[in-house]
Amino acid sequence: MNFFSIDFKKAFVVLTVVVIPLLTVNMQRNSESGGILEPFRWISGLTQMGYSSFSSGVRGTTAMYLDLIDIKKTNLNLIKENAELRAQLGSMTELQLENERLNQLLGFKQQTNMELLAAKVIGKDLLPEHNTITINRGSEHGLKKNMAALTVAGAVGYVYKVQNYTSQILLLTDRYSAIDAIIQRSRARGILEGFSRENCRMRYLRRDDDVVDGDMIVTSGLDNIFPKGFPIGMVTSVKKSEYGITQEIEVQPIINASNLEEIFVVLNSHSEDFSPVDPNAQGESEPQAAKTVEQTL
Amino acid sequence: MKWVANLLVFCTAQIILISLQTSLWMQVLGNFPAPQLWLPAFIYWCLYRRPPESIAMLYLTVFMAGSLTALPYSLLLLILVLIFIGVFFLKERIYWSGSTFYMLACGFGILLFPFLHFALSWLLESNPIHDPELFNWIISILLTMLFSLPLYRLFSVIDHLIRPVEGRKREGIV
Repeated sequence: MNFFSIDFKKAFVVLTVVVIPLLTVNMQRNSESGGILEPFRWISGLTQMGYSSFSSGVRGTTAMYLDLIDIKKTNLNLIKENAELRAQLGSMTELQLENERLNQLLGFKQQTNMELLAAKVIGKDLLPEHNTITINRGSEHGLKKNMAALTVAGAVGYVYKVQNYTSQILLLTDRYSAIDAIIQRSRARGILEGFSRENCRMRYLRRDDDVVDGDMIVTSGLDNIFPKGFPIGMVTSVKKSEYGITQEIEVQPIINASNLEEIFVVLNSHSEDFSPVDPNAQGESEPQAAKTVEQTL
Repeated sequence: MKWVANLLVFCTAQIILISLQTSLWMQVLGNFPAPQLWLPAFIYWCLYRRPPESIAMLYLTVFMAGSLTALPYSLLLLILVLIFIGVFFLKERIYWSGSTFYMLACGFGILLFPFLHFALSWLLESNPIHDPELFNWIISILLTMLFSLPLYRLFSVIDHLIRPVEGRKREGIV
């Protein structure tokens, strides 16, 4: 075979393979100037954009759908978590409030000389006309009939039925309740009786005894049930009959018995006296017991 | 033997209902008026038992309910005797079997209670009721009547399970 003899067919194929890409490269370099390829490029661009938009739309819709499923799941989880957290928060708030109340009681117990027993209210009277509560302490804990029941802010009532592990407290507002009480400012003495669910009345005060609206009523300590000078309530009205020798006054107790949760039972008052040094100066101020607690806290 | 068992079960139910009213109700619903759940069992015995049996239940109810109220036993006994007489007369005058009559009798009994209490308080006590708890009693009457229906079912089941057949025949339960 002669070296210089050329097979033109092969040469054409080789040239085509080598030259066409070179020509293409050359054409690309000149594409910036537009020319004949511009419409093709425009159409290609449009087609690409169409595909891109379509693809993006499909992807977006699919993603949105998948997200929605995910959001729904997340939402359900969040609702559940929220409910759990709310329950926990409620429980924590309840615990915090209980803690505050118990702290107050503990502070009071540490501050006073009285021998006190803390008790929890577990029940109330069978009939709406009577105001009694049941506590979770009984004779096994050292409770006896007629022991005083009080809270940090004021007197509550006294023990009237004792079982082994529970006791009933007759609240000051019950009709059957009667305790010895005095007007803190004037030291006038009378008997405080229950009158209605929210009020008491003080009887057997002499007609000339000095009592005005807003006076503080405190325990006299003479009945050997309550410590002396412990706050009971405020005078809300004074009634003097035309010919009687006594006057009747209505008293609003300091303690709202319907909201009681924990109370103290006085096992031994040790003759504790809560009376202020100067009753006239203390007359319109806050109860001594409340002050004691405030100092403690 | 069955009669004693029946009485014991009713007493247990009565104690549970009294505790539910005085303790659980207060802890769950606070100061919202509670139904007088101790009355339906007593009314049931007034309606579906012979008078001596009803009177036995009357005394037991006084002892059970009286321990959880400041109301004296004597006054509670008097009120319940009057309710017993009232329900007895109601039964004598109008009676039909079934739960609706029981609900009516419960409503009647619970309605009588505050009126009798108020009247006897003014007659016998030195410091009588001054402010009757009207709202409490209205809610209480309605709730007691509402609760009396499931309680009737419960008491009927107890009777069906542990009560002498002759007793049930006599009262027309069988």
